[in-house]
Amino acid sequence: MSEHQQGRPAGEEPPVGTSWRALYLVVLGALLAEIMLFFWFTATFR
Amino acid sequence: MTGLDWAILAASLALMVAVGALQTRRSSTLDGYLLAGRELRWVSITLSIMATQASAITFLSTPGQAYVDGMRFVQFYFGLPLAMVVLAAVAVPAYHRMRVRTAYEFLEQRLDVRTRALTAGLFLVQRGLAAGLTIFAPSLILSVTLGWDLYITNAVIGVLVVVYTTTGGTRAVSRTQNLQVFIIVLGMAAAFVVALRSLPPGVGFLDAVKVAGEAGRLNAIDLSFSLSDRYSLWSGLIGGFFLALAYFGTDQSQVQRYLAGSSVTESRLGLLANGLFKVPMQFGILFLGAMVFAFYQLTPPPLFFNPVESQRARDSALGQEFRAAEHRHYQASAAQGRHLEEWLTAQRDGDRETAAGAIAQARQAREEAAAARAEGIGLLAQASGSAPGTDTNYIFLGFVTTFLPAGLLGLVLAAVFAASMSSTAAELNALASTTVVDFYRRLIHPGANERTLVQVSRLATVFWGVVAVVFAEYANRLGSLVEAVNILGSLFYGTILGVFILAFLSPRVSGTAAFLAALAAESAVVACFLFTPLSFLWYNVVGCLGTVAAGFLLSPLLPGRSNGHGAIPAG
Repeated sequence: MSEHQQGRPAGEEPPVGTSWRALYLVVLGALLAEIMLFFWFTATFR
Repeated sequence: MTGLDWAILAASLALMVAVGALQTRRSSTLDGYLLAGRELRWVSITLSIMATQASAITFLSTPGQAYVDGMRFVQFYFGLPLAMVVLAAVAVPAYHRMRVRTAYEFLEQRLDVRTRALTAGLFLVQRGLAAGLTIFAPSLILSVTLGWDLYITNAVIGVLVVVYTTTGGTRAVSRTQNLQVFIIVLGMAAAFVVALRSLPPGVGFLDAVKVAGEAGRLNAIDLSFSLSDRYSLWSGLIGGFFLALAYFGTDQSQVQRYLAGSSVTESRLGLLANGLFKVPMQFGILFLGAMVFAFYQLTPPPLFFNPVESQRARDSALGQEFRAAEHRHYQASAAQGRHLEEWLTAQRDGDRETAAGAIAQARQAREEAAAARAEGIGLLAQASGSAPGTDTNYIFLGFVTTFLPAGLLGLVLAAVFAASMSSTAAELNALASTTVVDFYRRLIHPGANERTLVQVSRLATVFWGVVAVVFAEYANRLGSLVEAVNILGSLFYGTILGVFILAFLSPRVSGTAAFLAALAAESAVVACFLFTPLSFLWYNVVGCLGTVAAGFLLSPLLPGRSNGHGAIPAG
């Protein structure tokens, strides 16, 4: 079975560039939004 | 339990085993068996990562944690998304580029074989014992709450997991985890709906939220900074980040999940999706606990949620006093519920004066109930002749078994089994991979063919399954060992993370320098354990920073040979 058939093309390099950075920012932004939401939640139902 | 509950539980277990055992077809090569042919898509990777981390104890204990201490435990997970981003950017491309099968294989390609064997060995000791606890902990809670035999429950979980993990390998683990996550979500959703529907007539969802908030159980964010306080925003972001980095980046039971991805992109997306979903998932489980708390503010709870301990106290020489404490606790709890309902009604009517009076009376009754509970727990300790225990782990299952209707109880119990089996399967799978890839193929029988390697992998899975079940069977008799295993993990985790940080971030540090740095840091950790009162959670920091610092200090003295990427063929 070739490497390609096994699932991953040989010598594949990770895609780099702004699209990944944007995705990382989405994850970090979601965390920030969650912390702010939980802060509001804590303050509202104290 | 009714016949319907048993039927649902049995059908769920049979389905899980069948789905896993049917995955033997494409498991004839080592990559096929250990890495699912490196064909997994990101959705499967995410579900697999989440199912591996969330063991049964997560679903049994976390709601109880919210009940006792509020929702601030959610902050413990704030460092996880940060760690997912770092691992997606740094670790995933490195692991994929080197086409490693275990995280420790990477260390040989970057450093040397000694460092690889050291870290792989530490993983086997730590995770081998932890797998036993993954089985034991939910079995103990199920046996106490439902009266099941502890040893049989241990054996059933262990045997079912070994059957499908041995036959189908990583593909079986992943496929069953997809199904298990579905069952877990269904079970938790059912418990949530029942908690809300069981509230007294006229008390709605927002009322329950108000009750939980008034008692301080919706404290999701704590901005205070204290080194002795385990759960705050800062300890969650900083401590949680290092813990998640170590667990997801160096622990084979997690690394194997994303090594099975079909590409760097799929593995990265799998990790990042985990970073997106983990915090809301934990928030949901804690919120369920807060709702169970609200329910028990309006309906009197038992004085102590562990029924076996309570019965022992009733049957002891202190039985009369314990029953009196239970009675006072019930009376105070019932009064608290009445006053809280008055408070909610007055608030709805805009009657501030009545509301203020009602909440003051409710707080007074809550204090009386707490005093009766403290007295009762003191009597429990006297009756058992040991230190006062905690009933946090029994709260959620106690609620479920008392209030869930026929059928739904079976579903929730299936979810508990699913959670236990999903974590155990990933652990056995990772232990077998490390045994075969890092020791058998690398050091014992380098020329072994694929067929032999797959057979040895299956044998290793059975071996570690037997070790886990045997340890689970003995864990009950060796109570203090449970804490000892947690300390054992902290003794090694920091050092392993330090070695990986050197390997990833410092190309100039040689294998010899890293190996000696790890030994020096581990000695410092052991010295802290033996000669200082330092809390064991800090061993992780000492081990990690000690390894990194010693590695940099030794590097100029021991320049030696640092393996370039791929300089030594992968084991």
